[in-house]
Amino acid sequence: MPTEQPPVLTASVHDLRYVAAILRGVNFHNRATVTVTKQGLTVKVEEARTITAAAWIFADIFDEFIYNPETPTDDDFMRTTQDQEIESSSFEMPLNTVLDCLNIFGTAASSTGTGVGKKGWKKQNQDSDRESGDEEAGGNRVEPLNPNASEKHTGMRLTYMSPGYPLTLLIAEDVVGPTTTCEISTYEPEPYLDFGFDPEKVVLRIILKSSWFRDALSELDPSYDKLTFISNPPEMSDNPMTGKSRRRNPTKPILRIKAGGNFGSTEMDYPNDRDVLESFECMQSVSFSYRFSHIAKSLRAVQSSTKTSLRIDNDGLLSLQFMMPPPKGKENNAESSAFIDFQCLALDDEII
Amino acid sequence: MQAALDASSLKPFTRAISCLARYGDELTICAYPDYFSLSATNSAKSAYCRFKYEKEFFSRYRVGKPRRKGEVDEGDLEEIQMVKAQLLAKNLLSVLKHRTVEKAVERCELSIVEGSDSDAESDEETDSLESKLVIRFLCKHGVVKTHRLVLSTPTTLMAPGVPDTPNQARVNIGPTALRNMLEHFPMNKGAKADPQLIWSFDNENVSLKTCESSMDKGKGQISTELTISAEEFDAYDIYTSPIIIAFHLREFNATIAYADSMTLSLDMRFTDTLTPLFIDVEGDCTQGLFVIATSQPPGVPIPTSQSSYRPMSSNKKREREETPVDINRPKRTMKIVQKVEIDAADKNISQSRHASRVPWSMPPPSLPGPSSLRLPPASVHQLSQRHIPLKRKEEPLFLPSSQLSAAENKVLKEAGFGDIETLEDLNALLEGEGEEVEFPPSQVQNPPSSKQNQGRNDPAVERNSESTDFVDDMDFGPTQATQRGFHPLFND
Repeated sequence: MPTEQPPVLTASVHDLRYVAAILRGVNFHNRATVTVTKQGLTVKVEEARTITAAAWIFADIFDEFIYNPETPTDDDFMRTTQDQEIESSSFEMPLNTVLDCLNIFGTAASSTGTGVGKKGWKKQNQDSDRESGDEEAGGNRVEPLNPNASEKHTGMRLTYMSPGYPLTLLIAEDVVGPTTTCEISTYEPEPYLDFGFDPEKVVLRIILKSSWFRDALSELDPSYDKLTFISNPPEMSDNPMTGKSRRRNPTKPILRIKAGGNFGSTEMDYPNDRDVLESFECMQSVSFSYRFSHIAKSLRAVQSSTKTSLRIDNDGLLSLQFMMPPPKGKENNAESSAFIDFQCLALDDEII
Repeated sequence: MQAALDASSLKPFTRAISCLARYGDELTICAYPDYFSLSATNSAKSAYCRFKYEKEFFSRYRVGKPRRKGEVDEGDLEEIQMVKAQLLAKNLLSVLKHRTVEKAVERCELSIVEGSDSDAESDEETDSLESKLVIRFLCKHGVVKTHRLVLSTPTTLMAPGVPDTPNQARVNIGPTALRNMLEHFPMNKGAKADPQLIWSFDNENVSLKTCESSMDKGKGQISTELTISAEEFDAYDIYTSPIIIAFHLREFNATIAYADSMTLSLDMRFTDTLTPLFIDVEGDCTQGLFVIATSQPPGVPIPTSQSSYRPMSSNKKREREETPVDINRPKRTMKIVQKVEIDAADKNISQSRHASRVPWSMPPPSLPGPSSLRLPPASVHQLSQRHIPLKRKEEPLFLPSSQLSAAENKVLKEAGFGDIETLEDLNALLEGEGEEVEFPPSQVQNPPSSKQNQGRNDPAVERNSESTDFVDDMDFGPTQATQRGFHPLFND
């Protein structure tokens, strides 16, 4: 009997802002698939069969994380995964609603005020809400009523009983403050779209500070429709350590982000300079285009991250990984850093 | 055209663009060999803003095709080159105003790439038919950001008529003092709100008063009046006193904001109630010219010295009682800019370049129709002759939309008068409601008493096309004409 079973997942955290910030990073489609394993949670979102995003939230981000694999039954609907090596359970939830619930006291908005660069992030997050005006009117725009509210922590306890049961969120504004219990319907998971990114086939691999990528994305006009990454292998004469490179042929930029639309176009060239690109590997000349509106969906994730890893394989499949700052109090434990992984298919140049 | 700006001059440039963007949507760029100008006109054509940057403002400036290596410099011998282009102000502003620009840009290069010289951009994509404004930011760490904005070719240049009268009043005041004065007047922030103030300049005092327009009626608006001593002004030179002018604040505020950010003072020039207000804001290598149409303040007694310009002033009160549409709503009296054909403007520039302060903005003298120039008395007679055939034309001299500010126009629409598109419509409307028939024909015939063009949007001139019946009465003074005209229609 399910009632006698311990819940599949119980997790609690004393400050929900970190979790909320990560979830917000993938909040461009309302239906998210949550996969629970012993290591933590993955929240996956997909849109237009072209772009997928997955947020990895590790178990030690939570103060308490108890996963009880569902007892295998013969019922197919239970979606047990006993035949896999790692036991996991998954369910679908309306991500927007969950975020609205987390922000029910208006305290989740100040987001990742946890790790590096705490100052100024709040404002940037607000900007992004306006800039990347998603069709989903997210409720996370509510500002905290009291600016000092961020000093207090809003805690959360998350419980998922088993398939068919709602996701229960218990949110307490303060130890002595009000509490809310939200029950959010869950759904059976749809098969997840996997582009099968193969690290073997990568032709471009770049790691850069997220601020560079964030500035680049936010500087592009929202009306642009196409974004192209152009990259060429560094010439032998370039010395990445000094950042001094011979004047390059402008047709062969090291890294160029180019976007265009009806009103004009923008190109951004980045040199192979350690201050800009922390690492740069390019096997062959690369030029792949993506729909700008898809890439722009990563803006919220890049804003709360510290480092961005950009990889493109030889078919043009783009993988963007954003490393989130480690949560407060766990700065030394880099293992617990969450990250968000975006994958986007390239536009077919022949069709354009 | 190529120009380069370093980080310190980029900021004032951006401020000017923000000011221009508040004046109008379309930004017109004119690049002359020795200066660069940016201008904008609002949609009602009642306000005009232009910034002129001298060559020295830029660290590098050149009009013409980029010089190739080894090419002999023969460009100086060619005819005067000029580049004109138009683009949406907000597109340029969003590029320049981005927060990363202020932080990281070390140098900014502007260039206009014309559609035809495609070889200059041969390594770019083949799409070179459109002219483009290329903004290249050279940032820290060697990052280069290149923005290309599509330009359109302006078919007409907007240019204000510049008065050249001896009796011009000139006052000078800093932006902070102005702001302190204006902050006493509550502005509702809505998009519709476009408040007007009535300024009266006296020998010793300046008083500001809220101008109640029909839109504010019933809102219980507070009427505020503020009087300050003329000593607050840095320079105060009034030719006749008092001078009463009224104008909308939306564009004026944009000017103040610019002057404030640049810590420059405003040099205001005006002549009388019906001529536009000119504001000069001058800085190093920068000239800002702002022209704002003044409107006719309701209920303001017109001083006798000026009453000859305003023969219809006596009927203000009656209008208010009789016309539910409220014709006496303060109007923007005129378009302060006129379309100038490009070719004509070019000619005009080369001819009259050194003639006066802002010569290129003068409409070509050959333009038919009323000219907004205030003509010296000698030419008044000639002008009146030109004016007479005008009234025989049946075509509308103006559209109602041109005399109302955009906001007021909207209100008209909401009030159900949105279908007023033509003069006929308006006349039909007015006919039914006891219009101001007190149009004095003498105005047409008596040039010194009429400021032909200023009155273009006056109800008096609206009636030009119908008023030929009254020509016989031309010898009557204004009062007589008024009485005669009014009675039959009041019987409705």
